[in-house]
Amino acid sequence: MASARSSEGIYVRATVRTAVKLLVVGHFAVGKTTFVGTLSEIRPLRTEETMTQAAEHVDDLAGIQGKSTTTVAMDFGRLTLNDQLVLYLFGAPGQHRFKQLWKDIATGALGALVLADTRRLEESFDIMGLLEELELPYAVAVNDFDGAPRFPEPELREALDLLPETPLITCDARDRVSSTHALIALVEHLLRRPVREYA
Amino acid sequence: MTEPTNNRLGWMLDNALQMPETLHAILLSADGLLMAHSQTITRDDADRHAAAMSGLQALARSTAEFCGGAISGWQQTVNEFAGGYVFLVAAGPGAYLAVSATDRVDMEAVSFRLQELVQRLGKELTSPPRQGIGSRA
Ligand SMILES: Nc1nc2c(ncn2[C@@H]2O[C@H](COP(=O)(O)OP(=O)(O)OP(=O)(O)O)[C@@H](O)[C@H]2O)c(=O)[nH]1
Ligand SMILES: [Mg+2]
Repeated sequence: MASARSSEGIYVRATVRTAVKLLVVGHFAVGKTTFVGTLSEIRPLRTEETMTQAAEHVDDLAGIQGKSTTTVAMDFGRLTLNDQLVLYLFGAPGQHRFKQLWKDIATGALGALVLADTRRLEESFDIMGLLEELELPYAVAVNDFDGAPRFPEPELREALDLLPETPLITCDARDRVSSTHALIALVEHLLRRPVREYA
Repeated sequence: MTEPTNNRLGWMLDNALQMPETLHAILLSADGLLMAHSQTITRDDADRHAAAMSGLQALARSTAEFCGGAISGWQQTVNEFAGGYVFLVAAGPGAYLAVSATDRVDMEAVSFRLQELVQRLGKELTSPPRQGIGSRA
């Protein structure tokens, strides 16, 4: 996986034919912006704002150190997986007050990667519910935070109430290789599904 | 399916930039993928701006109810900066056109020119529905 940043679009070669839009979603502070930034081969789009006291009681920062900004609109990055496939990663904000924007950003996406945190698994239900409402297939990636409890896979699956076919992976959103594996698990899941027409 | 490398309509955007004080132009699908870009901007930058424009449009559209109940149908968003402008306009079904300019641009002329370009793009834009993953354009 090339890590250099391109300025002339060299990673998007002439043979590339398929652009796939994917969502990177998850609750507040689960690591969405970090994930998209780690994987993007171009300078990512960021819409970070300093968190205010007004949001203090709404957005729970328990267990998260060193976070002073939050995404107010979206994240975006691009990753060329191979000659045939370019992934366009759209990160949507996690907080409920952004729900309409979230749905707009989801337009045209083929699937979603749901980032989860084992310290607050129950906060992922809202997002998985929204995806099911939109009929968007997804995979779940547990973002490996320092000091977060680790559970065996069957327990995690049960706690998250996942279907047997839903991929469940562990990743570190700061690490390129493990984050790439999480995305590949999603792409393989999408490829296994019958091809669906998108209007 | 949005074709990532096929910059088929790029020349139309380049033409529009002959207008004095305009800078860059991109055409994007409503879901934020680049459809065409002017030669003045790299593909990588154009991809990022396309994503941002789709978010901007979604947010702008959501502010309609701030005008009261009777308003609907987003038509354009203009961002003004110290030194320049970004114009974002509807360009046919499911597409948007974004053009940037310096602060010396003739606003009225640019509006007219954008509408003209949108008309011409509309004739070229018979965007087929996107295919599922794994399909070829
Ligand atoms: N230990 C560890 N920390 C991480 C990991 N991923 C993200 N972080 C940290 O967690 C914090 C939150 O990450 P963000 O990427 O801002 O999370 P987000 O989901 O984009 O947050 P919002 O946009 O505010 O919802 C940051 O301080 C990151 O440095 C990880 O895999 N491991
Ligand atoms: Mg974020």
